[in-house]
Amino acid sequence: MSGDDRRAASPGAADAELVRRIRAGDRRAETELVERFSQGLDFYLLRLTGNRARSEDLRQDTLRIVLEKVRKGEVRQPERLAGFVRSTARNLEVASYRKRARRPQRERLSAVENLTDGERGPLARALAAEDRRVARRLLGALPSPRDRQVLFRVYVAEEDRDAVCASLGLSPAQLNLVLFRARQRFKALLRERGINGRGARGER
Amino acid sequence: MNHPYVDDHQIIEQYVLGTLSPEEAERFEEHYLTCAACREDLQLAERLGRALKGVAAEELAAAAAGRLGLLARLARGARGRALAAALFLAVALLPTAFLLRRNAGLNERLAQLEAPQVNVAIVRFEPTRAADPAVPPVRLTLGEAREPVVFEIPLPAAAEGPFRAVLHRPDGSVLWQGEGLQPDARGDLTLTLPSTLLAAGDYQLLVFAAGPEPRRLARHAFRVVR
Repeated sequence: MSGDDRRAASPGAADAELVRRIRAGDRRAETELVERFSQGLDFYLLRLTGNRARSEDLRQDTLRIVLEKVRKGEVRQPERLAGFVRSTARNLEVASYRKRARRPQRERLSAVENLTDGERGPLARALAAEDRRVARRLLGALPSPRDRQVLFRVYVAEEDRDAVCASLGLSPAQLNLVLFRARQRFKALLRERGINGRGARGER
Repeated sequence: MNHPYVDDHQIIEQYVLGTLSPEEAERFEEHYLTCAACREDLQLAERLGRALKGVAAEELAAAAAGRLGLLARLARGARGRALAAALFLAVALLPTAFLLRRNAGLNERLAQLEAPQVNVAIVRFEPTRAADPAVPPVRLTLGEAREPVVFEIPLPAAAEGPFRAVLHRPDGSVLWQGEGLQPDARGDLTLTLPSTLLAAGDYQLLVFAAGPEPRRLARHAFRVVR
């Protein structure tokens, strides 16, 4: 596991210390902040925007604003720095969305044409086919037909979780556990085939 | 939120299914900003969902191809062609019959929606910052029939929109949430829900001010009795 939060006893305390150092003028602490949040922000913003170029722009703006506010002592709860970073990124995306929505339609359409669609590339298609093969193996290896039903009804039919629980006599916690174990098994099967969770081969 | 908590409470599954409360979802997003393992696991959960959908699509395609293969084999002889045509018509007509029946149902629903609504249930909450546990929640008695229920939520005069509102079911899961909400001319938020969404039990409606540090403006409780 490479998550910083696994190492730190308290991520809040580490964040507060980082804020304190930046306020004291420590330039290395600023670099640490950028390194600490860059990948996570990329991930968060890409999920929010669905557009890589826009998420990269927003990540730069977010880090710039966060650094300025930390330097000026405008972060009221330094131990909740991650929350501040997240809400800054989200607000920037909301503002950017509103700005785009006000643009003339022709301009918006040309922006749509520039979207990159990673799902349609040959590599993405090959990986998706591999994922399906692994999912079939997972279904074959599940210990009970009930677990197969849970996966299909939740992920494929997208049935309401409460309805699935009621009809299969499961508590919400039991249903979550079935899904959690399926994900763990899926991960193990992918690794057996030399694929990691991020979709690339042998990069761990 | 830390990593053992995420694993112990299957937070990733709940996040993917959208069953976390907005506050928990925010805490998880804050956590994964600095947790590469959680980001990887979140991607995995979503890949598993996509892969299972893909498997289901392949199974459906294979089943359809099997039916077409049967038709082709049947169509080889003269008698077979007639049988294949009959089978084809049966397969083709079944969805049409289903759609016609569903259309009739939709027309009926549309007529109900367009008809004037009499004695619509209107729940107006008192302006409050937090629900007082000593005060019993607003009681709302609903019948079996589907009817609209209107909630009027007053907003503090000084508060500026947009607002976010979240309605929690009795078990704490999210029944509905709306973002970017603006008050009406009277300064209220108005929410209309079909009564069929509300099972018996105690509900909580939370209203937040938008902004870099979202602030809770009000919490209202109501009890549905059936």
